[in-house]
Amino acid sequence: MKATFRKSMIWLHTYLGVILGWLLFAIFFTGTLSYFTPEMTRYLMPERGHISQSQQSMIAHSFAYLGTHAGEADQWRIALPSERSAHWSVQWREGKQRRTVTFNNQLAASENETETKGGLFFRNFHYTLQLRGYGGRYIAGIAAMAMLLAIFTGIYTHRRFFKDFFTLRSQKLQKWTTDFHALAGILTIPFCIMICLSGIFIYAIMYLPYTANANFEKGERGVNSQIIPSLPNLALTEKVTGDDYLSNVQPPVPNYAHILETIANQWREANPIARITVEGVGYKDSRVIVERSKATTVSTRADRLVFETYTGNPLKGYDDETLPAQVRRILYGLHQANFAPIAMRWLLFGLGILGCALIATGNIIWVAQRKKSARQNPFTLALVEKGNVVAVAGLILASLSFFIANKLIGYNVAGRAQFEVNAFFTVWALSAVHAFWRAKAAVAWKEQFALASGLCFFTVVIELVLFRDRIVNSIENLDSVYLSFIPAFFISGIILYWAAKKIGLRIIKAEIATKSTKPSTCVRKEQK
Amino acid sequence: MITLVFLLQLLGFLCLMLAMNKHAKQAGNSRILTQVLRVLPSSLFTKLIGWMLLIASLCLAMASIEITSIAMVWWCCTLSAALLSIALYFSSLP
Repeated sequence: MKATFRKSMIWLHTYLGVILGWLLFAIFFTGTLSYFTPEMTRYLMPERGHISQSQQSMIAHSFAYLGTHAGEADQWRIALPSERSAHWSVQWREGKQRRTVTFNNQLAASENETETKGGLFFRNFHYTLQLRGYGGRYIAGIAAMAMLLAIFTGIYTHRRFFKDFFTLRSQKLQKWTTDFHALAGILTIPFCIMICLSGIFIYAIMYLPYTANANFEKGERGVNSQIIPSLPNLALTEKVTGDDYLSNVQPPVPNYAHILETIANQWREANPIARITVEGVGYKDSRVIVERSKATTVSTRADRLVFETYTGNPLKGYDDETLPAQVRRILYGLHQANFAPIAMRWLLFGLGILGCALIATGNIIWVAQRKKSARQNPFTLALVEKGNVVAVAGLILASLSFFIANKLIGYNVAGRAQFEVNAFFTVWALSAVHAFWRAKAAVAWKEQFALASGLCFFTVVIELVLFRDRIVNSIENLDSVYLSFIPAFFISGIILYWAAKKIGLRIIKAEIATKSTKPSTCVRKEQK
Repeated sequence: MITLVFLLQLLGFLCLMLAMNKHAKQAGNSRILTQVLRVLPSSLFTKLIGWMLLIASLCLAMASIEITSIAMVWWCCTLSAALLSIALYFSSLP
């Protein structure tokens, strides 16, 4: 225990940052990238081109396709594309078998998509750390709790900055870093609290399973199915024949025209439907569940309407969820930000990057201060200093190598999705080897940033050389989602090059300063 | 409308910044801000205007965006952006 409460808070803030900083950076960085999960998946899958069909024509085509190819199925599901995902698919279930078919803008069906983890890799990594089933989610949860603690202790530690947080003293790098750390902290307080709190709430039942285990039949594993309202089971007894409702259509198709008309009157926004599920296909009691897009709600549970399939009459829908369940869904929705339009998404992305910068600068400040005071064990200092390089520059390199692996590995290669993941971890491990092999951390920073910059430009070159047809197609169709990745990589490359150059200049300055002090020291020794 | 919310926040933070003692002192080195500070009323009044502009931006966000929760998220996001813009602007003044 320290002498004063403030000193204890400073100590806690410092060591939470030093011990968990790398992990938090990895979670924050990949989480920030996850704001563009569907966009990244689209970028990494060449077949996901722009879809310009109207929702009505897509629904009509999907039902026609399912009627022809899956008339005997138990369940149909149509997933309509959004501007972000451009993923239009139908899925049907016969017994225990599921089949999925995707469509492109020319209505061509395909059962084979590019094998890739896509943007989901970063999303899954940020909360499982690729250790699902091995405690990854617990580790991420503990990190989120520690981050919350670090935020509150940070507010207490840097309380003076509430009086002068507008200043960034650019004259000295160390002062600028400290100012920037405080400024980034203040700017991201609401964002970080929201992200950490909602992240913990998503898996609250897993972190605190005692109540669920004591009060629910199947404990924590069955609690969701018991508290989430569901529709009554269908009593599928009588098959629909051609004479019953739609006398001249075989096999029977849903009365979607009436259903769509009802929906258009209730949901007024453009392209309101995200998903349509038909349960009990071909039976008289069959029903259609229509799910609204998430653009109009913060919650992860969008509105759902239920209709009788063959008459189009509305049915009683789902019961309302309990208040705690609704709160959890809102927090979940805030965390994922599926509701966010593109401008808000970029703002949230910017806040995520600031959060990463906050964590990274915290660790860099610790190293700089310890170097100055010369109190720290040299081994620990070198470990943290080089670990910072691996955590920040190494992760950037690894992420870029994931994209490059996706672009370079042939589409016919079996297990290519796993190769992408292997490329990510191999490059990250190599970055660690490089950082610890280099005598000076500054040199490792410079070289890894320079390499990351080169990889960004290389990604642009790959795109321009190997995917020229896709670029031309995207320009013709004004596919801004795909096209925006090229300038994004280019600008990232410039920023990383600038960072590498700055660090390089500092190394040169430091070397000149060392050389200029050495002879004078010798002279002094001789005089003595 | 969000742009207007952002502009109100920018002005609000500018007023709050000018009302802060430390920044007023630093502004003594800046030709532009010295001129601005001369014409400004007392720091308390400037601070009040700053807070009122921030509240006005919140009201405008709530009124212009139908879904309150989404309006709040917008407001918080633009608030951070406005704060960063002011900090960078102030730090780069000649």
